[in-house]
Amino acid sequence: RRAGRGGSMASCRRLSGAGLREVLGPAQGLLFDCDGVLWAGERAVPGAPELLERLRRSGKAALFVSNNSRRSVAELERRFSRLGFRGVRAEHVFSSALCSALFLRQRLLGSGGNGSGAGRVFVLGGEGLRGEVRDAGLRLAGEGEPAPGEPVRAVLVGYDDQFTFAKLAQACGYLRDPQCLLVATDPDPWHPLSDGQRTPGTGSLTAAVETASGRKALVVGKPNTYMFDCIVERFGVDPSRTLMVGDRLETDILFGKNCGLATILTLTGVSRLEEAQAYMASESAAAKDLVPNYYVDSIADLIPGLDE
Amino acid sequence: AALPGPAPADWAQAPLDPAVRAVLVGFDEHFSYAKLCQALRYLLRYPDCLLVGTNRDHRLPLEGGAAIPGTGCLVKAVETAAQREAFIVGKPNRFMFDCVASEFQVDPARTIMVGDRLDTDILMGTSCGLTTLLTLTGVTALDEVQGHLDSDCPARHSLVPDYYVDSIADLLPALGE
Repeated sequence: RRAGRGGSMASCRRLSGAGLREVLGPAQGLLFDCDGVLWAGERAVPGAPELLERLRRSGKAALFVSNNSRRSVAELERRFSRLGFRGVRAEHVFSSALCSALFLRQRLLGSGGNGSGAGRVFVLGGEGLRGEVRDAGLRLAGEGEPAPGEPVRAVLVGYDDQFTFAKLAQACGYLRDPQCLLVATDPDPWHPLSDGQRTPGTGSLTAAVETASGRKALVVGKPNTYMFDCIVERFGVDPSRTLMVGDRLETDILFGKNCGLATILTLTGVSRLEEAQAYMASESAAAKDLVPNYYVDSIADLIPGLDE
Repeated sequence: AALPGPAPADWAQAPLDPAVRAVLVGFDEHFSYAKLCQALRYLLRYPDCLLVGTNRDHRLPLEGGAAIPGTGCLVKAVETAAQREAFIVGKPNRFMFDCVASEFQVDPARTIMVGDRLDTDILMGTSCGLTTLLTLTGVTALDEVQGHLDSDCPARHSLVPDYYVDSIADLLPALGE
C-alpha cells in the first residue's frame, strides 16, 4: 500500500490518530526541510530531536533537504548537533549550496573531469557556499579584475548578505558570454527572522541579475527537482515510500509534488493553514500543486505514528 | 546611520524611522543587501508604506556594447523580497507626460516623442497619443521593431513607432533656415 499518497488532488488533511499510523507505517523514509521544521533560528522545535530519534529506532530513514545556501553541509552537521539532534551526518544533508556545487561540477567538469579548462565560477554568496563550490573541484573567480587564464563559465547566485551593485555589474559582465551559465541556489524571496521580521532571500538577488543580464537562471533548489536527483543518486530513495515534510508551500510542498512524494505541511514555519486552504479552493491547476496531502501543527505530532 | 553589527539579524534590530511613508527605488550604484533589508523592513512594518520606482530600465548602455545594470534590477529585487509591485513613475507610465503637459501647453496631436527605447519612450508616446519617432543611435535596432510589427500580439504593436531616423541629426534638413 502506498505511503499515504492520495489521488491527483491533495486534500490537506490533518494527520492524527489512526491516520498517522496509516501514513507513517508504510513509509521507508522522510525528507525534512530544516528551517521552520526542525528549528527556528537557534531553537529546535520542541520534540523534533525526539522524532528523529524515534524514526531511527523504527528503522526509517531521515534525510534533509534545505534551500538555505548559507552553510556548508559540514557546518550544518555541527548545527544539528548543537541544537540537540543526534546522529545526523553531513552525508544526510542536502543543502542548495552543496547541490549547486554538484550541479556546476556536472555541467562544467562533466564526468571524470579534473578541473583544468573547466572555467571558473563567480559566486555571489558567503563562505559556506564558496567552500562547497571549491570542494566540488571548481575554481572561483576573484572579486575585482579577472586574472588571465580560465574564463568565468558560470555565475552562481546564492544568499549574499554582502551583495552590492558592483557585484551585480561584475556578474553581468561575465554573463555577456552566452556560454556562461547563470545558476541560482534557490528561489526563496525572503526568510523569516526569529522576531517575525523578514530578510531578503536569494530569489530577490536572482531577480536583479536576471533583469540586468536578460537571462533566466537555472534554479537548483526546491521546488525544482535537482536536489531530489542528488538524494536518489546517493541513497536510492523510492518516492512512493517517502514522505516530504516542509513548512513552505511554494517550495517544500511543490517540491514533493514534483518528485512524486506525499507531502506533510508543518505549521511551525512560514506557511499558514489558511494559505493551503486558499490554494485548495483556487480554480487554477497550478495552485492545486501547492496543497499538501497532510498537515501537522509540529513534526512532534508525528511521534505517536511510530512504533513504540 | 551605521549598521549595528555585521549580519542581517543585527541590521533587523536597527531602529526604523516612524515617519517613513514611502520606499523610493532609483539608480543606486551603492545598492547593497543591507539597504534591501531596510527597504523590506519599512514595507512590512508600515502597511500603507508606498513602494515607488523611478523607472524599470534593465540596462544603461556604455560604449562598445557593454552595459551597467539599470534601476529596473534594483526595483525587481525589492519587489521580489516584498512580494508586491512598485508604482513606476518613469516611462512608459504617463505620469511624466502629465507633469510636462500640466506645466506647458502641450497638444498631444501636435507633439512628437523622440526616443531610442521601444518599451519606454515609444510606448509612453503611444499611450499618451503622441506621434512617435525612434532614433537608432541608442539601444534599439530596426529588426526588433520588425519583430513587433510582424507579431499577432496587439500589445507589441504599441511598441512600434510611427517613424524612425538613423540619428536625430537627420531631422535638420526638415527645419527651415
